[in-house]
Amino acid sequence: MEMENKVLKSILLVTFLLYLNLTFINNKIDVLPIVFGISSIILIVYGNFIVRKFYPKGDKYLFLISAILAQIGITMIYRLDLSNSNVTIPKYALKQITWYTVGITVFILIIFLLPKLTYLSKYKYIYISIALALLSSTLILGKEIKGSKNWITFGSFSFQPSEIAKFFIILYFASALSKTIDKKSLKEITILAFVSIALLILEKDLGAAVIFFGIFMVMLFIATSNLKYVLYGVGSFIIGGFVSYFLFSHVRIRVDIWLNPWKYKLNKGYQICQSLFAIASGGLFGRGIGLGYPYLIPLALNDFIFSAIAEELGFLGVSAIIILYFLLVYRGLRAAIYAKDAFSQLVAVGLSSMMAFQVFVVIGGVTKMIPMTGITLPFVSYGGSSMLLNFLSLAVIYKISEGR
Amino acid sequence: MEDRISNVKKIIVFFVFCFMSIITYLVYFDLFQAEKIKYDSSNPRMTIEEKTTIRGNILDNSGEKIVYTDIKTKKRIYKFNEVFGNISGYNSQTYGKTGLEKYYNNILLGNEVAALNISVFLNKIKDNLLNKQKRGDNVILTIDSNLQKRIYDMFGENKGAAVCINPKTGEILAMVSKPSFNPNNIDKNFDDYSKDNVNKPFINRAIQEYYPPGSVFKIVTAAAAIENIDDIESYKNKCDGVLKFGDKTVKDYQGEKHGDINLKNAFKYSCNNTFAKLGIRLGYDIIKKTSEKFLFNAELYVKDDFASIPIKSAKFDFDERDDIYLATSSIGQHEVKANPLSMALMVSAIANDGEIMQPYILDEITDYAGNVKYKSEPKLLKSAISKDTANLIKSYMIATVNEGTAKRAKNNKVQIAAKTGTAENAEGKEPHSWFVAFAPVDNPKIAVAVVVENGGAGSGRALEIAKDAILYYLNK
Repeated sequence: MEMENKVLKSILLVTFLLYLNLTFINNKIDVLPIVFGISSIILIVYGNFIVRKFYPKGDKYLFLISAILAQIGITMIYRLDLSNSNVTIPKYALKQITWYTVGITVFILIIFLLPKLTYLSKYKYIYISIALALLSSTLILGKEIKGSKNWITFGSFSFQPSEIAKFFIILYFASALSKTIDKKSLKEITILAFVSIALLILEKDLGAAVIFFGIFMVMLFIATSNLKYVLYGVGSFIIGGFVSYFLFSHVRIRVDIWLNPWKYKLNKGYQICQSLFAIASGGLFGRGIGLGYPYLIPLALNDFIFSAIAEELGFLGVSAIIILYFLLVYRGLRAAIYAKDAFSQLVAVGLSSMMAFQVFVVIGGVTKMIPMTGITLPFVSYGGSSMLLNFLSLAVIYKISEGR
Repeated sequence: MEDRISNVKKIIVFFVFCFMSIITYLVYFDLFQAEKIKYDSSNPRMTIEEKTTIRGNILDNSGEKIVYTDIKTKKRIYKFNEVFGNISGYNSQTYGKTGLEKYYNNILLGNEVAALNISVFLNKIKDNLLNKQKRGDNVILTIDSNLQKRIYDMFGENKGAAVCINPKTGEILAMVSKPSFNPNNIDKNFDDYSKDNVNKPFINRAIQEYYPPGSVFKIVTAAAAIENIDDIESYKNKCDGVLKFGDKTVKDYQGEKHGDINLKNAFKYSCNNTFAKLGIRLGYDIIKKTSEKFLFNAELYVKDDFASIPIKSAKFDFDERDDIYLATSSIGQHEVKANPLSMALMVSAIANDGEIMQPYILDEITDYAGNVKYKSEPKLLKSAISKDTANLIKSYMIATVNEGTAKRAKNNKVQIAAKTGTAENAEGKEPHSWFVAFAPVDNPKIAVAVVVENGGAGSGRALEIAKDAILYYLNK
């Protein structure tokens, strides 16, 4: 309790300092960031109060860690808005803080409305049908954005079905794997998992394919305790990787860019090169908020927000973020340890590892540690649908963390 | 259930590993890759910074401006026009950067984190608070601009190059290459300069060109003889002029016959017959090994903590093993190649008791207000030969000036030690003339190497230029 208060206070202090920094960066004093800062602080305090008051049994750190991550994201988005000098109102930051508010609301609502999780374990075929339907929907309705055919657009609203499908596939794995597992059911699960991964590869959504695979392996290991399955899985994934490298040109391009981005720095490798320029310019301490040129990075708001942060907050700043993500994942897995039943436990593991793999794939991608795939950074990147889904997952983990 | 809990713990360990691997990778990236990527020319940050920064100046060692930015017009001014062309290089929006403008770009833009002292730090904070335009740092060279200009003018219409270094420290005092180009007019004249295949004004002849060193190379052969032949003091050669190898011959200048001659006299009269025979007696491997002590075939740079400017090192490396080739290469012909900087290093080993200092051109870095941010320290590059050998050759070089082929360098102001050289090149043209020297002999302050293209036999023009440079430098 006392510890939580300390953490809360430091989060509020950091949030306030971040916004205070924003007031000074345009060579004039701007009050609007202070307004943002105060609103954010009220939001965090109030959200935390409600959660603590009505649902005190869960793991409050989940909410707190997500709060500071989201605030770092919003201030970075705000800072990027400011570099667009002919705009007086920080358009994207305003939208993002709105989404953050909605996210917190969803978080609280779900904690309030979600029935006992075990009731949900009965509908495994419904989950997998929804997931497969979502995944194949893009093949028919999808639009190609950023080189991947994984977006669906309704009017001005567009979203990635794979983001939602991830959620259902975790529910499917959890419900299927929480029952007794025999050879037949294992076969069924494996086939369905690989069908969904294959769909993602066809849609050129390679990042999501890797994440799906990671989640599947982790959940399979938890449920069966059998390392052999994981080895088989990894083996077939590597073979599959090689096959798709030779089969699909889009996979080949990604790998070639990864091996030598500078060869393609003016065309296909432009994004990753700009990202590396930003990270390299940041160095150890970063240039300081407002002193770098993160607006030179394409998609700095979404997929490359990590590079923008690296430029201005440096290695120290991004290490802090990486550690925050690890703590979040750790709290999620800790919830799994205290879970009431196998199903809840598997759901908590699935959701936590989903976040972990997503962070790993994004950060590894933009730093050229692994081939780049366009994915958003949970809680930090700009975007409504991903914010909502992350809060949805967080709420479910919170519910599970209430424990036995 | 228990099983699963222990599985979850294993997964936690797995993710610790994943996240740690990202941080480890970032450490690696920041330490080993970031520098190179940051300063890549296609990083748009560099262009933005260049536009918003007042570029620092390049000064000589007395503080005289060589290259500076006019604060009002923001124009880059090269005060000495052609004289420093090949040293400073140019800085053009269209044609990029060369020379020191390229190698010290980050210093000139104020991006190098040189050792901070408190006044530099305070100055920086003050400027940040006052929101002043960023100013780059100044580069102070080891070059003496008066000497540089003097040598440049002495060349007159001749082509060639000259290098002066301080043999005790490795400071480059002057580095002239002629014909040069005028960096002030680079945008206008770039095409003419780059198409000029006769004068090649963009080539820094002092470090990027090769000439056969001719008799100057006898310093190496003499060192090899002294260090490898036991009774060299009593060595005598009977010089009967022409040395025949089948249908080829090695002969002395104008077919002169020196008769019975010892090493010292052979050196001071530059007797080809003697050195050719010595070369054959010592063999390819020993000559090559000795030349490498003088940094032939080496990887050489004008170097400091911020830049490594490559020098084409002298070469003694070929496949033929016949006596004729050994004979001609022992007197600096055939496949032996050199340029003024590499020869200046060779002669500085003689001047400095056998030790060669790392050549450098950056003396100090100061911020725009003149606070020193960095100061270069002399470094030993190589112990080439023993002190005894060095002193023996030094006495030969003194004799060369007092009684031998370099008599015209003799004067009553300062004792010079020197070696002349004549390098035959294409048929029918005047040979290149070489001259290497240092002075004063008991406390050397300057070592010089000059080559004048088609400057005539017996050092001719090169000797005059080197002598003038030494007297000018020591008498001021």
